[in-house]
Amino acid sequence: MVQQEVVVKNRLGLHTRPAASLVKLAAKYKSEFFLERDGYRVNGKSIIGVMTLAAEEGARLLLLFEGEDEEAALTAMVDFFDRGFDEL
Amino acid sequence: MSSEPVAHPDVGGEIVLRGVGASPGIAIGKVLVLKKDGIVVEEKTVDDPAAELERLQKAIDRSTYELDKIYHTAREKIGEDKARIFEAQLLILSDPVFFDGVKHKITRTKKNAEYVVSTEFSKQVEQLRRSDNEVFKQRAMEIEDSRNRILRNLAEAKLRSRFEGTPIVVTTELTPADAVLLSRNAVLGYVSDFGGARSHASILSRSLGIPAVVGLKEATKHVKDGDELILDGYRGVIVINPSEGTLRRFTDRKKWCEQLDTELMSEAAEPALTTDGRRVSIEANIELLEELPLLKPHGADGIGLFRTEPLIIDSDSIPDEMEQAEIFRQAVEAASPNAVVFRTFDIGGDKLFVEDHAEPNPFLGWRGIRMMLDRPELLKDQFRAILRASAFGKCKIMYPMVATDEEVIRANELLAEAKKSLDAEGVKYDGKLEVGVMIEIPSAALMSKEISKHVAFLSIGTNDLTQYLLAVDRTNELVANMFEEFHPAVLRTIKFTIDSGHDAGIKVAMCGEMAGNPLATVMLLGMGLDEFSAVSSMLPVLKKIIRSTNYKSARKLARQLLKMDSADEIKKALADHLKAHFERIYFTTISDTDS
Repeated sequence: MVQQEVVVKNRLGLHTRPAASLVKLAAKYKSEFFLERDGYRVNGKSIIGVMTLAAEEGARLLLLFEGEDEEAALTAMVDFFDRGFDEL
Repeated sequence: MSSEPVAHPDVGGEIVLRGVGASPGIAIGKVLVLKKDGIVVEEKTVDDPAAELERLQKAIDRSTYELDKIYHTAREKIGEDKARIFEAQLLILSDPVFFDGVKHKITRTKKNAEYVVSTEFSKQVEQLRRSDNEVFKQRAMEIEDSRNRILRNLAEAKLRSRFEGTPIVVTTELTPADAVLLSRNAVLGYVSDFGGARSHASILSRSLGIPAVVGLKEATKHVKDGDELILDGYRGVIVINPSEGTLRRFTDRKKWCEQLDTELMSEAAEPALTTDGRRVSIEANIELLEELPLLKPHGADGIGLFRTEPLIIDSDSIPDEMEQAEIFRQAVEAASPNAVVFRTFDIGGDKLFVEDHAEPNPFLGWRGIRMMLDRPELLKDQFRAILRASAFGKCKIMYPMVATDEEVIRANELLAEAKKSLDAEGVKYDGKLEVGVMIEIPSAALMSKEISKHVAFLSIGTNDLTQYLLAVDRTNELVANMFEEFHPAVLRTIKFTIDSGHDAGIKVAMCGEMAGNPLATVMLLGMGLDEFSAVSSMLPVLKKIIRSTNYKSARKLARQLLKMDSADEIKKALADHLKAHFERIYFTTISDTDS
């Protein structure tokens, strides 16, 4: 299992559109994917779950991947957060 | 008529409630209370969870289909970026993690799909509502939307099988979809707490010929399933658990009304010819394909107004050219050999492009032909669909909400482009298809002479014309009582429009509510109106009045009315005339007094 903390950088936060993109990105990898915020954990392949994180700008999230392609998945996801979900 | 409910619990348990008569007719039968979707979800234990999973999957598939259509249309019309919001809702519907959870729970707990879907979604919504961030609180609505869509689709599948007998349906608010969907069962009548005579559902009830009383405020509080109920759609009254005497009185009245109805229906196929030989055309206003079978029995001389915007409202999306063409073809074939007048989308921009526009004053805003001219691709698609249908029978096109002749010229140019594009593709259509304009904005009425040069007919829309002439929003309760179709200013504008059209050698029709009001028939005939278009159920009445009237004396009456200076005076003269010549029609359709 690999994990890394990330920060939400875009002004609107992890709202519907980035949540949709995030779930689509996660679906490309076989690894299981969870996001955790202040101990509240959701399945990263569930858009409903991701939406309930209500992660606004500045929110700190922990990304956790487990599976054969966990390294690649983590790298891609961290990059997606770093780009501010392409909304910067 | 008072809209306050008046209960008389002292009269042997009989309760009389007064509302608004939304659709004529009398019904006597047993109550069936329709619980609204999404408000009450019952928790039930099921014997066969597998069947429940199947129902759920069907509801999800149907919801996905609906949203997919919306998403694709939105992407085409408002762009990829804004459409992504619907893509997110699609992802919600295909969320494997969430729905696996729902399915396991149904199997494990043996609860009904509605209950599990509702509670599982609620947990997620609650989680989001805990956020301090307003934006995320609003996101809860997207999840709720998805839940409601699934619940609605779960309910719809169930609704049809639920109606065994011939009940009177009582509900809080009747939606247009309810009115149509329930009519596929043997429903005797509709009763609702909310709504008015001009609401979409009421219009539909009238065209479906189902008696209805709406706006009763708390009818649902006073009834339960199986109660005996009398519904008088002529006078907007219901009687719950009627006494023997009341029941007898209404049974007689019902018989009396039905006799008149049978008599009128038997003569409906006769031409609308006055005693001195003036022939006018009596046509139907149509919103839905369900109404088409009513055309022939009600003696319609064609369809004077086919509203196309319900196609959008009912499906939450804009049907493409071929989908529209198929619907239009059905209308054309049902009306054949008579013509169908297709009115291009008459809808506010707010209904189509939600994210772009919230107008402070939509009635004075971006709607009707204005919006369509700003979205020429939409209009051309619709033109092409109507042109395609014209290969199967006679079609006409009508532009709504026209204010100036420039708009007519521009729309005609787009029509010519649509024709050219079909020519290039070798698609056949009627090259002589006529184009007309709705006269419903005062400026268009005043310019009707000039507008007539560019079109083959005019059609007066009295509802909007009255609203704009008197500056009264009839949906605003504070001023609604000032809405008066019989105001002298309205009548003189109508007369001016008819004369303008005739001076230009073209026909003038009316498709507003006034055209279907028996009180106005002789007056409009006397003003020279050529075509009346109204809800199907009223056509036999209009024909009866016209066939029994002398055109010359109608003209004389119209001249007298146009000189009067108050609506009350005009309405009294018209009521006296109707009562003197058509007593039974007067008492069944107009009068509010006891028989």
